[in-house]
Amino acid sequence: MTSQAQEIIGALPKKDWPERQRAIGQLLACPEHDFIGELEKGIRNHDDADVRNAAMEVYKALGSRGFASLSALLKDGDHEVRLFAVNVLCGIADPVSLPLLSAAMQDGDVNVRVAAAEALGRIRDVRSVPILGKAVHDEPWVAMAAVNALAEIGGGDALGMLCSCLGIESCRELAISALGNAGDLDSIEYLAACLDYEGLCELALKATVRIAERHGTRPQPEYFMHYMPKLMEMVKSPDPESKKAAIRAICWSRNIAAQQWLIDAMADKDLQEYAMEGLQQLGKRAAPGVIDAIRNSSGPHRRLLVKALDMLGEQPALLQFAGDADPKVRAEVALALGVVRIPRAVQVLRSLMDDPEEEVRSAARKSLSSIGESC
Amino acid sequence: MSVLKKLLVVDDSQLIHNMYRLVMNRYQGCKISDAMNGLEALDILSKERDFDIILLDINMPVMNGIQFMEKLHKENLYRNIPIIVISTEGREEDTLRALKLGAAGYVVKPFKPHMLHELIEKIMARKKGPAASPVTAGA
Repeated sequence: MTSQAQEIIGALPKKDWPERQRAIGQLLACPEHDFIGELEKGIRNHDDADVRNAAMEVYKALGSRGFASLSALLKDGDHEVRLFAVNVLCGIADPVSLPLLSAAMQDGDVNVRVAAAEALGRIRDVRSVPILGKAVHDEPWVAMAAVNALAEIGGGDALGMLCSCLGIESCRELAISALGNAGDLDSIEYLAACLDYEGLCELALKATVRIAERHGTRPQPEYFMHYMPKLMEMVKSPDPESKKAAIRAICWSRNIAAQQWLIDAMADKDLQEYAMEGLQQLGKRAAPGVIDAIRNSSGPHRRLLVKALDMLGEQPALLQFAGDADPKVRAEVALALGVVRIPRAVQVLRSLMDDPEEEVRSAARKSLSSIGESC
Repeated sequence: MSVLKKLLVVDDSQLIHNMYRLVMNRYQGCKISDAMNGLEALDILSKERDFDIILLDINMPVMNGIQFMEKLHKENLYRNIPIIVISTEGREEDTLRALKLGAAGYVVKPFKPHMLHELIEKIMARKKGPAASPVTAGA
């Protein structure tokens, strides 16, 4: 080793991060054979984490120039040395190291295999999918690392493998989370089937919602039809994300059994938006229930129920609420009537022009104008 | 079971962060913050000091676990937050060094989730009581 390279390597562990980076830059200008032996010694240093970490940083900066040395370290008798070598390859994340990492997946030490799986995930090369597919049957930590790696790789093959992981108890939970992050529309069917697993229902539902939102889609109602009691229970969850996921699924189910629940949810500020969507999903079947709720309930949410009825295309049914005691309801009715051209609606709108509340009169004026009637 | 509300995980592996999220599922509502090295952890701690426990890996770039502990020890920082060192078999020197620098306990990878839970329970219980010697998973 040249004295310059020796000097730089010797001082590395004591330097702070920016200085270390500058020194590594200087070192890289020297031929590898000047210092690679010293790096190998550093990786084998059991006494000083600073020396070891400095050596790992140099290896990472060297990239593929250090592969021959790392390949030798991967055959070292000390599992810690092999682990550090894999960690370096993980940091480099070069597809050229795939054969080295594939071999490391057969290592006798579990931590080496975990690190190798993580490195394969970081490289994101679809050629690793079969190796990782085998690793999901390995010890739990390796299996979890493999699942995580498959999610990072993504694409049809990896996601298909992840869906099959849902059948393996030891990595099911992580596979559900991973699919939530990386899954595609095909994954939803598999995740919906996980609603049956006790303790994983919320996780599976949250993952489903994440995919649906990411792809701007509504999953098929059949996936959720049979889980209504479970979903109704989950809506009471203290976790806002679980609560939201449950109501989204209730909406997607288009199950009329959820109608009353959706109407009640209109009174909850956090759920109103989703409940409105759910009622819309139910379509005209929901109208009688909504009408009953406007008649028989009290509170500011009645205005939203009027809006829901409007969105269901049931404007004529709103005529009966034109004389409601709540001016907010009367104003909403007036606005909704602005899309129907029936004589009775025009008559009601004209009468609302004499309402004591300006908000109501203004809404009636706007509606009359939009249907081309004079005030 | 102790109530663990806030946890800081310091590890350069995103995989490990994901795993801890699963392992910590039993502590419902526990907020987990991720730092990829000691320097990031210091930055987080300068803004939020109310962590119940720190889980600390040793081998990390930028600032490793030992350097992080040395900094805390030297500058007498965050003494009220117990640190659990996540070690691997064969790294006894690092573990001992971390314990000398004030780590509250350690666990060796790959560990079973219940081992970490038990360690956390012990440390949280001790946090309420008088100061005691470090603990290890399964001890």
